[in-house]
Amino acid sequence: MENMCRTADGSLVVKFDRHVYRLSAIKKAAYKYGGLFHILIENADDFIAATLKPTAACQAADVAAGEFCNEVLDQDLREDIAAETSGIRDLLLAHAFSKTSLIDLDLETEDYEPALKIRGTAKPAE
Amino acid sequence: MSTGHQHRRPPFEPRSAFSPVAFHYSLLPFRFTKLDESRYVLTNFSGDYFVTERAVLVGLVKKTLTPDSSAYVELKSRHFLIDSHNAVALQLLATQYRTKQQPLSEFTGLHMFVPTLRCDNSCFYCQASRKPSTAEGFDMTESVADRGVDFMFRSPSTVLKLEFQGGEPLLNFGILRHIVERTRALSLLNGRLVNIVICSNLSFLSDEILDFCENHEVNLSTSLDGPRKLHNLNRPNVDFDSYERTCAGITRIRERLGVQRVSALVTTTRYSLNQPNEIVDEYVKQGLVSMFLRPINPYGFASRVGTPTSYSTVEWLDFYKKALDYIIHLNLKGVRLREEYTALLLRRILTPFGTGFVDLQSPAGIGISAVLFNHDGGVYPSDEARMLAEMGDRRFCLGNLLTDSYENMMLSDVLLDSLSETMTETVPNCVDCGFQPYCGADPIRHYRLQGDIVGYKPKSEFCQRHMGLFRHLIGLLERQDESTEVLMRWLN
Repeated sequence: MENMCRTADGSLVVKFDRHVYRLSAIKKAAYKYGGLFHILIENADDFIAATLKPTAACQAADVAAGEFCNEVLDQDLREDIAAETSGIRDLLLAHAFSKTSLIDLDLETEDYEPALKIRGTAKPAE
Repeated sequence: MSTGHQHRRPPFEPRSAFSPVAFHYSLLPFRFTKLDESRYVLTNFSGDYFVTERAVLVGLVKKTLTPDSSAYVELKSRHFLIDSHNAVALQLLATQYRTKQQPLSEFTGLHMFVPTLRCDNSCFYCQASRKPSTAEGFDMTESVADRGVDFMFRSPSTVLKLEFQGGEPLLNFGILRHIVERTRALSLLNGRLVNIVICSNLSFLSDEILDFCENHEVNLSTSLDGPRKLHNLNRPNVDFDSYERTCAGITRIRERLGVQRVSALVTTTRYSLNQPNEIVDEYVKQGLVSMFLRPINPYGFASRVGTPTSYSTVEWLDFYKKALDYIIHLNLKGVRLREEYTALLLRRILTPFGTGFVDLQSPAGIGISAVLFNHDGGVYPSDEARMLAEMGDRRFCLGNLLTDSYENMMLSDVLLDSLSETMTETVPNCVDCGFQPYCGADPIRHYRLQGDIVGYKPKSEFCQRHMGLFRHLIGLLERQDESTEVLMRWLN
């Protein structure tokens, strides 16, 4: 693969076209593969380079590096989904919890004591 | 020069200007994770799942699916996308999500009491760091017990569960009896439903105790690790007859109270790994209708170096899959036996209802799903937090029944800080995981193994195990064969 090469210390360097991949997607994939590689990410003009140095837990570095590239694709797809649905997600959460009794409105007074605010807890008898 | 008859543009475009020139749909929030080499599992906002090839997933996101394709119809009906014809999806999703979060409003249901830390068995994997049965200073006093019961009835939960843990609780039957009688009296007074379970090795089960269990509607849960040789190896006592005592106890409970009043769990040791079928057969032999397969937890004696407990998560998953296959095989032959952890995970995958299982909550179930009262009055947000304290690390201790108030303990920074950091909806890796709606956070375990309550999920044994379980179960459900039918029956 032209955009993947091996360095003298056995690390693999993968170059991602910055016009195709988001930096955040590469960083998320790097987090996920942190058990298999020590990962360094560098930002250049046209590409983002990820240097993958296998850890002791990594049995097949080439295979894992290929999976890392696929994971970047998946993370990029997740970013697309998040960008389109974050507004709806907030709306759904607001709607879902607007009808719960998690908060007891009777305790929503100006002088309420926070220690008593959980539903069902009451001040012990004096 | 103005003529006075200027052409005035209408304030709004005609309706036709807004009519769709091309088909359009919008995505609804969803997550995805690889299921196997070729398929992905997608889960929507409320936890409905859909398994498909990557090409369909990409097509969904890139808006290349056509409305007449079967994938489009499926994804629309399961609320992964919305078009002009199903705007009601938002209302449904919000309702389903709210239903799933309902246990949060119930707050603490499970209350565990440790009447004594003494035990007659000397299991090498004892996670509670038990004390010898003749040891002194490890029994709960009446004063601690009373405050524990009062604490329990402060919970807003409509249904309470009282569970006795140990040590061996029946070694301090006097205080156990006192707790149950006080609980039953208060439950009558308050109109609260309380389910009571004694977790015991059954060594000391007597007619008096059986009478007591019958009169007070007390269930029993025990440990049965497998056939005689395996059980006695894992759970030795002085006379090397713990298997005989446990089995005799199971038989007496079955005959006296009924088979539904006793349940048992398997703790998997290295010795168990090559005996999945033999272990299952032992449960059938004892007439049990349920079993719970669990790996060893890394607490107490189980964490000592050199104990024969260590095995990898991959090895345990392999054991679990073989045992589950065999249980399903027996079910197909007419044997009634259910693996309880599988049933619990299936309920999380297939139903809109939340489960109160402490390890599978977001935020974590510590404190808000369970509380434990140790023999010395120490209050802990889970059994594992108590186990950690017995190892010398009291980080998660909420206080003591004899000195601290309910409010101070349940609103302590120890608890609230832990909870605020364990919402899997926001935790790295979990936030994007397709199994997030079914999974949860185990801060005590991650703290024990990684020194951090959130934990680094790519190296997390908890994460690896549950990913493996969810992948396997969804794979079985997708087969849509007779084994799927068995699993569906376990939902009831």
